[in-house]
Amino acid sequence: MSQLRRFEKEFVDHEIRTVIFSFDNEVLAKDYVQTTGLTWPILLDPDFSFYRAYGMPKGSWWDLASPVVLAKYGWNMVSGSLPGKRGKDLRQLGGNVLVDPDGLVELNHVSANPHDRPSGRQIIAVASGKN
Amino acid sequence: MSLVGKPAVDFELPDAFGSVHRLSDYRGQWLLMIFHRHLG
Repeated sequence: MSQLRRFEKEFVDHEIRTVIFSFDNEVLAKDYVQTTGLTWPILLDPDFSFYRAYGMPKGSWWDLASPVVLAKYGWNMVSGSLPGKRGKDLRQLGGNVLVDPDGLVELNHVSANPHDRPSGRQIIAVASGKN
Repeated sequence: MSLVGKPAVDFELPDAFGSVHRLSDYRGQWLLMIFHRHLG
């Protein structure tokens, strides 16, 4: 999420609102907001209802521990980004969905591994293409 | 199965501080939904 948070102002400039879906509990979510200063709302979906509705996958252990993924984790740690508290489902891969002003899905990115996410620039490009 | 071009699935969920959010609250604006892996 830190990659996308760098685009927070640009998302506002392009009239893109942002919400986070999380299966973690309210205590963890509040702690996350207070620790990080996140301004986007964290919506609590503890039974994964909307993860499933939007087709967000649960990966295999290989998806989490392939050499490429481990190398990325290693690089993040060297760069000072240490793993924080963990929720209850490490295999959830997540993803991103961009919905247009008419309520239609314009981007449906289902992550193939923990680091597979569209960039903020890609998201803005999709929204700008229909503005 | 891609959902591109289809109506977004409606949701109604509380946030961490108890406010309820619905898809319809965001009608007329672009909405980015980030399905997080885990907080931390």
